[in-house]
Amino acid sequence: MRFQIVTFVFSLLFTFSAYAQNYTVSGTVKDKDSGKPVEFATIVLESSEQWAVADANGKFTIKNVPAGQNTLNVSCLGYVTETKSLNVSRDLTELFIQLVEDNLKLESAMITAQEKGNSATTSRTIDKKALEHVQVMNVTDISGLLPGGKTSSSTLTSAQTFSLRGGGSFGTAVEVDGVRLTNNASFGGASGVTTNNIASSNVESVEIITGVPSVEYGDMTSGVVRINTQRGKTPWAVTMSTSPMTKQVSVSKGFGLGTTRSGASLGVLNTSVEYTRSISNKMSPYSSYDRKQINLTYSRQIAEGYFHNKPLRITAGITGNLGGSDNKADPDRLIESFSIGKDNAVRANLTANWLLSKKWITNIELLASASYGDKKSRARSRYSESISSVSMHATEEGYYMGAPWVEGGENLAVLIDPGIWYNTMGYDDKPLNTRLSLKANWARNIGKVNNKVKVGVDWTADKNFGIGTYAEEPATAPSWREYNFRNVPTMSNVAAYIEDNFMLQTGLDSRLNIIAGIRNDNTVIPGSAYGVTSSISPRFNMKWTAFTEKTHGNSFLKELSIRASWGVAAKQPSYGVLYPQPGYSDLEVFRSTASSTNTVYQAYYMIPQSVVYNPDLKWQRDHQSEVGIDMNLGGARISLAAYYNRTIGAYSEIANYKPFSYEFTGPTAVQGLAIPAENRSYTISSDGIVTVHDKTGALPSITVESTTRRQFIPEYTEDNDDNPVTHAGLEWVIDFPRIAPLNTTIRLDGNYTMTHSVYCDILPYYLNNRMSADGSLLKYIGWYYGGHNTSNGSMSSAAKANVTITTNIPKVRMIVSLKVESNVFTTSRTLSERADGSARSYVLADRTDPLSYIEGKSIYDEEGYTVFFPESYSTIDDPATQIPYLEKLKWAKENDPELYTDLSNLYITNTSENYTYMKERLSSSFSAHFSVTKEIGNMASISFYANNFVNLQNRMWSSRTKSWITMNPSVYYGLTLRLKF
Amino acid sequence: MKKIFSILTLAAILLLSASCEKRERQEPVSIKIQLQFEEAAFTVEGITVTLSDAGETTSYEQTTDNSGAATFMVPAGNYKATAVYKIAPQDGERIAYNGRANEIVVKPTSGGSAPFLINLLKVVSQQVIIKEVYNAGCLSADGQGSYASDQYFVIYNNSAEDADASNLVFGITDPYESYSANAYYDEGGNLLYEHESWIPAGGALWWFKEEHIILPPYSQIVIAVSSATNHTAVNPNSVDLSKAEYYWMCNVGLGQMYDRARKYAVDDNIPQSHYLTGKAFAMTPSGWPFSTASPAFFLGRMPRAEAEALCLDSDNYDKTLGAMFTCIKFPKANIVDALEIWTKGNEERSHGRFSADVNSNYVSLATALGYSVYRNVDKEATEALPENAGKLVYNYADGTDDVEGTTDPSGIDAEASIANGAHIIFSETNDSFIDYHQRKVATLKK
Repeated sequence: MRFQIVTFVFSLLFTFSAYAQNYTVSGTVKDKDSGKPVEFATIVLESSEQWAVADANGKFTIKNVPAGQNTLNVSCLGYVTETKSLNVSRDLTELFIQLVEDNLKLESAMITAQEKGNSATTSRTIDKKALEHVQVMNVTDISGLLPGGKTSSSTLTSAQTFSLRGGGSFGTAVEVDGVRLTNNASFGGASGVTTNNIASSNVESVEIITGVPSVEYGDMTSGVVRINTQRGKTPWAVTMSTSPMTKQVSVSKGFGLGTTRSGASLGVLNTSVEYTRSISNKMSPYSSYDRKQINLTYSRQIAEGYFHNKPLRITAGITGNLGGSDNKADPDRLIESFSIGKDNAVRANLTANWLLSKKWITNIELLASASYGDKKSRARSRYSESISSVSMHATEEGYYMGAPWVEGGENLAVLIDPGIWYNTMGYDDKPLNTRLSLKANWARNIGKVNNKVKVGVDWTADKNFGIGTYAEEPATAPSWREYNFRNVPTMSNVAAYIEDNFMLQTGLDSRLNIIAGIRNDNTVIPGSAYGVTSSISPRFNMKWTAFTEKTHGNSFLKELSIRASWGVAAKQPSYGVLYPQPGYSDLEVFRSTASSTNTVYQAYYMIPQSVVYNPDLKWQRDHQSEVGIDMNLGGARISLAAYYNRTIGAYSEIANYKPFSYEFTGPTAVQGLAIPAENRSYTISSDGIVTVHDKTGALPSITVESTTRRQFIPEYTEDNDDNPVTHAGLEWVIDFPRIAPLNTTIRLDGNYTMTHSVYCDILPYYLNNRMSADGSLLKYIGWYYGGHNTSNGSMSSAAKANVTITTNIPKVRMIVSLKVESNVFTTSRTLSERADGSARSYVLADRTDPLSYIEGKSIYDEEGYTVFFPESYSTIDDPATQIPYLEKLKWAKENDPELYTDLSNLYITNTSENYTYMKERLSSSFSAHFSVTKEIGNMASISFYANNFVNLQNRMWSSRTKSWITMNPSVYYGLTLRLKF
Repeated sequence: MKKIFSILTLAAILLLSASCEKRERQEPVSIKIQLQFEEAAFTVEGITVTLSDAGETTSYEQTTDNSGAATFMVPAGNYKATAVYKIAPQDGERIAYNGRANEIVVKPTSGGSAPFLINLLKVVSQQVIIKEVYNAGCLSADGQGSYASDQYFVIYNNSAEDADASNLVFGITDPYESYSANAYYDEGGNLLYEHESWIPAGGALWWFKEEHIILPPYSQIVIAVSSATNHTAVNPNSVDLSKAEYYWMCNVGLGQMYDRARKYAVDDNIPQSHYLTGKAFAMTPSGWPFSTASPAFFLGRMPRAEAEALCLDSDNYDKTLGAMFTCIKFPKANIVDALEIWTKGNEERSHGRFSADVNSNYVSLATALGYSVYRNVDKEATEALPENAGKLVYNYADGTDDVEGTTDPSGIDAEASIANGAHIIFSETNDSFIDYHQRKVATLKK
């Protein structure tokens, strides 16, 4: 029904549009100070989504502009974006736009994240000036500029990921110039993409969408981070940065490539080179991470010949990174050991934007991108064994006797002599992510209505060309199995979306903006049991601008707009979820006595533990809701946003258990046999019987006796967690009016976050480190409400507030900022409860008696020892039958001591922390951070920061553990020098 | 100008002088320490009482008067006091009284106040004792790490009579390490089973497989704890535990988990009859019988059937929450000997795991240096044996007092004396600090 309404509205708008009139908008863009033309300035008409690029004379022309109100945006690297309102009712051919250089001579210079005013959802941008002021070395550092964000002093030696509104990094989309960086082709599990290999020096701006994004964005559940690198014509720029842990040097330049014979520009090539090196410890500066990156971006507008009146803008970029981590030279490590991990990457993108300005289509955009990583790592480790050891390489289930390595042999179980040796193992991970997308826009004004329709298709393909784990010295390698990533099929995703952006002018400066869209994703894995999986993601955004300063400039409430959003987003699983590396359980079934050289033969039963295909697996989804209000109250700009997100069907791996029996042979079976220990070799049959052989052939072989043993073994399945995880919160930003005499602005920002999750599925669990009273492995599995862990959920809430005081002194071209950050409060609690809030764990009256539990007494009220019983249990003889646990435990205590002992293994207690379920309340903490940037003429600028500069080592009192926790980072500082010529 | 400068200089000197901390001279305080046994004064004259400061850097010694009290003149501070009194052997039985007071707080006002008390415990000598424990390993062959799969201990017949070792059992207490969180202490720092008739035995109990084991006078049994193999074949810093006469604290019979967790082996030389057996009632986290860092190890005497029944009796399980192991309650009355080892450097955060009537103190041991904990010689009792005339070797040099460790105060080199044909009687005071020292080289190291 919803879909039909949308279709109807679109049809109506298409019909109206046929009657609109078109005009030409043209003009000149010049530098305000020098009066020189600004070549490559981009001119965009927002309402009609038309654009042009200024030529060498600063001239531009946009034809077929529909009549009506429009907004002209003119931007160019190094200049302040100029915005003008236009009423297009005739040809406008003499527009004259002057751009002002963006530097600290401007009173309006900002170094904080700015709300994207025209967005119907929460979206913020951080521009070059702010990035330079805080001296970002890793783009994740900008998280500190978001409401309530905390300044970090991270180094590149630890993997950094974006996580927005507590939604987890796996679901956060990160794009660099339209190239989506994902971990979909990774086998490392559901983790977010790391940003360490993104050069920070050539980032022009970052947009962070934390609200409900456009349907254009798929394969994400927790927001979008769009990183834009610099492009266009720029002077030579050299940057040198230093901080205790990180050094960086970069050079960039944007070149004009000349003109064609007809005088048309051949485009511009922007280049940048960066070298960054981080260490993890000043005292031992040997563990390091290097980033050596080159970036080339070519852009050109073709507006001649066939493209006259329908210009084509092409942007192509390629980025190459060489680097990674290295602790080879660390003298603190064992002599020969090392660990080296590459983080090489190539990212390429091509965007072709064709302005057709037809009645039925405005723009068409083609985006092709590819991202290839070489994350090969090698580690050399020391091994020390007092007796022989066995390395298992078998992948077929069965019994295997360790035997010395044979060159060219199968070597499924390798017996390695005792002693000390070094071995190098490698992990070859080469993910490739490709994307091709086609998007068409259509914008029209009909009276007071401006309507934009966006239709697109997206195709992505993920593949890994690594070979996985490999051994450089196989004869002495530890247990490992080949799992060649190349053999895993390509995972493709085809998506189609349509979105309508409807803007109704409801008054002189009031308007209603409704954005409705729907996206359909289809993940295709050829030759896989998963086949094709579809998901539908509808999204709605609404913003009502009640009035602006234009009409209410003299009122105390000068501006007011309200917005609301709701949407669904789905996250495609990674290879790590769908095709996790198979697990292998090697169960020791035989150990011989030792010879005089400490040779000890060992045999294993190998059980493959691959994840079983789950036909019911669905893609993880996030239901997002948000309401926001933006206003100008007496000159103070206030932005509030409240959100409520629920993650549904998060990927999780669950275990089922099945009985298993095998033959076991101990050393007593072979001790003292007639064959001397030095001359023995051993074999094991397919049914687990061990035979001793005389290597000299002098004595006949001896088959020895074994015993049968039984236990449960796990079988894993990838599943969706049916229990939603809730993230809710409130974000606020208040920018007070500038205090002109002091050239100072004050920003208050902060956030309140709340999460809650309770796991309610009843799952089996086998305690494989427990024994039955008769000495055998435990013969029972328990069925636990919410899993077997002591707790089955958690809740937390926290409030953070920051004050940023920024003083800009244009006369001396300097900007100084002081940011005081505070954790106002942090509370959390570990939960053990059922879906209806009733008890899952009980307080014990006597900590030595599990049956002394007190019904009706809450575990949350006071410290104490608690117990949690399984719902039921199953026996190894009859695993299908579940027997109520507690009832049987009580009976066994009185009637069957052995059963009571065995069942006692199944209840779960809060071990040594009798405060497990107490509410944690951390007291407030504060830290202060200082930054200054000074421009020295137009040639140079210098920035310095000191994080936590007054060294507020605030200790926070933990009400739960009754102890102090030190929260703030230690003093950290950095300096950057930038030269332009 | 010069005047002003001079005045300023003078003022600065005066200020500096005034700001210097005036160190108060601490006057010694006269305190009395009274020995007590079974809540009555132990009125024996001439017993040496040792008073040492909390850091055990300074110690004072005084002897008791005829009321059983010793008087000290010491500065105010926190002290510990110990007293040991041995009486002459009677019918081959040696009796000692020992006691310790850990919290003697001497204030400037303590002079003339009520005496501090040391409650003495009576220790009757046992036939079989723990002579040596080598648990902390040695340096690996390449000097790049530690090697700790060569643990062993030695039990010894400390008497002139044959000892029946058939019904000995071996066990450890909870937790595994002295510095781990100990659930058996209440908030007031009291050991919950201090006055109980049992101690918690964690994980398993072991005993010999052979039906009859007789330990001749002054002889010993070596029991390999981890791998009973020739460790010197892979590490010259280690010991050879592959000899046929040695025993192996084996996993066989203890349950399947031990097979899996304990990746150790036994030399083919060692007969199966020398594999220990026992009963596990819970698996230790690593499957090791005792810690490489800080074990609390005891030797008990109990018929095997009774020990097995004790391990299987779920009513006898101690399920104190927070304990590292599932424990059984092992009767104190059946404990023959106990030894508590704390890791050198971790003493400050360690807690004793035996009640005072079982073992009242600890001995420190540095890890991975090839050191062992070795029993001190009872000098008086050993020298009193007539057969030892001319056979005792003195000037013991294998202690570690030269490297901030401990040594045998008797000065008798027990191993050299035994090799010389002497019979050694080792100290038995139920105080690990008095009874043991850290030995530089494990005795099995050749």
